[in-house]
Amino acid sequence: MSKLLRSYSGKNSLHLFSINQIIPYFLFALVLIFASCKNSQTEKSTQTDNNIEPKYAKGFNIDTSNKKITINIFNPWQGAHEVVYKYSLVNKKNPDFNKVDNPIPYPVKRVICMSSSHVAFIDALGQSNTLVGLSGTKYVYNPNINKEIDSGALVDVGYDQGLNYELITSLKPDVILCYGVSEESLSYLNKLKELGLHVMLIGDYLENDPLGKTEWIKVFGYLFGVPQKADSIFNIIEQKYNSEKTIASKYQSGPTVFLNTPFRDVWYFPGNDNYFVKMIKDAGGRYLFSNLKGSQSYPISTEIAYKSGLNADVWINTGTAHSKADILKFDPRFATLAPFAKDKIYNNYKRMNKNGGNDFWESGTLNPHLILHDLVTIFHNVDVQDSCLYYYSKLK
Amino acid sequence: MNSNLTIEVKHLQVGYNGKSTSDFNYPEINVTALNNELIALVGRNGVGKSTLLRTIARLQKSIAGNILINGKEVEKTDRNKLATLLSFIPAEPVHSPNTTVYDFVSLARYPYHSWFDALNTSDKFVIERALKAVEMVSYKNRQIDRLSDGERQRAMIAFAIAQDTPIILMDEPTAFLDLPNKFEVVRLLKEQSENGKTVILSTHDIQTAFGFVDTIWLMLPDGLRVGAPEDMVLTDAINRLMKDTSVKFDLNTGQFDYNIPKQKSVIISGEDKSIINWTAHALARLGYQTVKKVKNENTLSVEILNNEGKVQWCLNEVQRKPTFDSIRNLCIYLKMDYKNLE
Amino acid sequence: MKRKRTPVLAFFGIMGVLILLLFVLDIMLGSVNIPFKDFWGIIVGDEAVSNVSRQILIHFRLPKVITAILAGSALAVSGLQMQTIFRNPLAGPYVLGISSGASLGVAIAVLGSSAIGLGFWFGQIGVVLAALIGSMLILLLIVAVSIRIRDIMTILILGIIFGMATSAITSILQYFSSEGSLKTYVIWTMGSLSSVNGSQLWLFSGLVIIGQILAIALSRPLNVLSLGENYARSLGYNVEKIRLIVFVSTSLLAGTTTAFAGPIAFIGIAVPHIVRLILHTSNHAILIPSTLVTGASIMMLCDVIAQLPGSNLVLPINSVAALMGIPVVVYVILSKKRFAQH
Repeated sequence: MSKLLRSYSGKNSLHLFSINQIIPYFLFALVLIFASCKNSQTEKSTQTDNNIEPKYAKGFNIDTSNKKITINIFNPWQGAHEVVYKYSLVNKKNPDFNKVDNPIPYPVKRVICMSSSHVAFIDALGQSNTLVGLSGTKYVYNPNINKEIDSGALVDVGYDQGLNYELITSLKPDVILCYGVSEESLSYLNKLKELGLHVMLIGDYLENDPLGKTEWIKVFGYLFGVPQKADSIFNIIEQKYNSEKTIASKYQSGPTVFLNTPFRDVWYFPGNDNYFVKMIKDAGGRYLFSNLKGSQSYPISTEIAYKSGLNADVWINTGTAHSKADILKFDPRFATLAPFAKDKIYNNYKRMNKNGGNDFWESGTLNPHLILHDLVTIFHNVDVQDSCLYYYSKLK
Repeated sequence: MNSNLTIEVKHLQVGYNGKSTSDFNYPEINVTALNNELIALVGRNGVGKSTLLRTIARLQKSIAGNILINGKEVEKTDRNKLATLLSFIPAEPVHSPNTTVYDFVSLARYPYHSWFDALNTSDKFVIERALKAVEMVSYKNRQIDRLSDGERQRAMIAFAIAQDTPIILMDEPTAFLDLPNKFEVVRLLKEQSENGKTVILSTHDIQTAFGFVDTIWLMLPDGLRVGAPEDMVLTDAINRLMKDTSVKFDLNTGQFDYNIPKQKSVIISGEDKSIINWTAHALARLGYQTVKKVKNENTLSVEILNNEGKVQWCLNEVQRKPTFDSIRNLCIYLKMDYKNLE
Repeated sequence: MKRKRTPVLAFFGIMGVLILLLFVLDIMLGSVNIPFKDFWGIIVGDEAVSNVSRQILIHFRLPKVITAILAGSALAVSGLQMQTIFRNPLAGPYVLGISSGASLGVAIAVLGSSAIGLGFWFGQIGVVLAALIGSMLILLLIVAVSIRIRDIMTILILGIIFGMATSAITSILQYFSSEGSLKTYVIWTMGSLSSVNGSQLWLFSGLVIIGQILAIALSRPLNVLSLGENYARSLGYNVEKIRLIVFVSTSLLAGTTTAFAGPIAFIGIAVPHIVRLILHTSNHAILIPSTLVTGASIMMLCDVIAQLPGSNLVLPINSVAALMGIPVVVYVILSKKRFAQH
């Protein structure tokens, strides 16, 4: 209910910056508070049947009542607070198309993606031929998508401030799938909307649960009109993930896990609720900074990080460092860390293309069970063969 | 060759030989300076006095010609050696925060040392002597930035003295000073020349220099004239300096005067010569020429009376004899009267 | 009018004690709590000290404190040199555009690789080298300019313009680069004392020591230059040559410091003023060593504050240094204004 209190229709929420525009909506919202209080209480029971409430994800739900499909996206950028976007999937030929909130032509046939993780979902649903534009095509790992790129059917539309608006318009996309880093970074969405394009925010990367990220495939399933396929893919992954978790739970004691590399003398460590920290725990590892709360990352001084890393069992996700020599180039003091001496450093760089595009960030969202499998293998085996790992590789 | 000769300037062309339109070229200069000689380099603003001094001091290059110091070419003299032969004090008042007069003057001893060794007792003696020469001993711990303009100029002279060079060049040392300080600065420089140095100061203020210097280098637009101040007067060179102005040098009084036409005449009688002279001086301003005999019916007659030490000026007019107790009142009356006549 | 000078020996005595105190304090304080017993144990060579304490003290704290000393002294001395040579109290080590040059080097290394799409990866030493090359290129440019142009103000303005040009290029690179590398770059611009270690520390201290030796050797020419170039020239100094050596010294000092520790602002401007306020001298033979030790101790103090003793967090050293330095700079500006009104 409180979500409704501050909910704006997607179209309008993008104009939040202007006070003049906020005031009428605020007044309108005040009126709605009373109206919606009653409505939501009475309608709740009837709506649940038609509502697809995700099992793990917190960033969306899907309303299929009255033969309409509405996708509600919640708080689709970092720090967003009780923001809801309603996207209505409507057939283009439907005369009501422009009367609904944020209409998306249904089913979508021409898609532009701003994030590579979306590409993985689309490919998994067998819809890679619908992709017409992508941000950062040279970083794509997926061979199916690369075929599209090579054939010229899929072009690069630029990124961030460098988006090629003319090209985007000429591609005539049904929908542009975007993600928001912050409220400020969304200004380009306004520009796209002004061009008469349909924009949808996807918040998979904000989920704090590994399976929650994967569950966003359901949103894609509805967009392309293949919800059952999406469901079945998700169910299989969920099952695989959980069985991997069960295997991990059988090990008595897990290793202590050290993460990341520093930005100069500041080391960023994610809080306890972060999805990857959850995966470390699911894989039976003991995260060294489990005292950090929340899902955000904290800047930690090198000294503290070094002290923790000194006796760690495993060190993973070393970022741009792809060898032990790279690590020494970074800071020779790291040679004294236990994982360095014991050769227990792993990085998620096994599947990378020649431009540095990393499949871990592309298909990893779709394949948390494979990541978990890698982690379990790394954590509970003395000697790990690279051939046993999917995304990870040992640093040599 | 004269053994007293310190500076010889031969066929020197100074100026800026740039590509810009503001090329500045001064006619060829040939001049010499002796030790014991106090020289005033006189010229109108912008004629190139600083350029000439700076060229002699090797702060800037000449276009052509030679400058010899003690018979050796400046261009070929080692910089450090030159610094022990010639000191140059620029026109702008020295400005250096947190620097005492003593600190400032002691820097003048650097040419006598390598980059590292400290000042020795003989340096300290020279510095003290320089401060004494300009009567600044009691000022030595004062901040240079907090001195008055006159004190600062004296400190700058002390700097030149402490550098202990046979030649001192000072660019416009009197420019920022009041009259007593101007004379004081010239006096101090004269003392230095009397001690055997060659001192050249540039100035646009010929009056201050006139009575003190040995030689004037007069920079006229068409070339440099050299001579004693008196030579300048007699050759009328000095009036060439005043070209395009209404000021003329009066050969008789030795002063600059406005070139006022004197159509009226006056006879001044009295006993005290100096009072007669100054009265004539004042009346000249009003256009009266002092004469011995009555020229026409309009010739004025002023009699100076001395009443028991009280000087009075009496005007011998036909009807009345007005008497005044100051030249000022006499002048006021004459001006009024002059107007009434018209 | 007279200002009492703080005795130089007393100053160095106090600074010696202060440096020792700050050295110990800076080594003792940090995110990881290290008992004094361990610190003492390492000094006396006790084998029983815990490995964690030993590693952190020797591999983290010690290099960091040495970096603070090197960076603080280098920035302060180069700031002093720039203030003297430009005769401007607000000049600092970066007026010649050295930090912009270093920033451009780093930007090309860090951002360029992502903007242009080069896949190769720069380690920390790569960033250092890029910054060094960047600042040296700016130095070459400044030297080339200063050989052709004599007017020091023109050189200053060109330095600022070069800085602007490199910032513009840096902005373009920022515009096109990915978020990750942008963050690396931004964090570099915030400065850091704790990323220098091992062999880098040798290179860093070697270059800084050469710069400092040059600076100390230059103290006499700088004394003369602080009076103005005319004085320097007439005392036999080759101003262009001195300027060149000063520029080399400053880029060694400020350029290397920027390369290793990032651009740390305000220390370079503020420390020379602090020293002058205490010692009231303009003698660089005293000023340079005093600025050196004061810069070192103030940087250590900044680092102690940046460590936020007792917390896990570390503040960017640049911000702490700015917060320490800005009040001094403001004081200098206000007091200059007061002097001007006198």
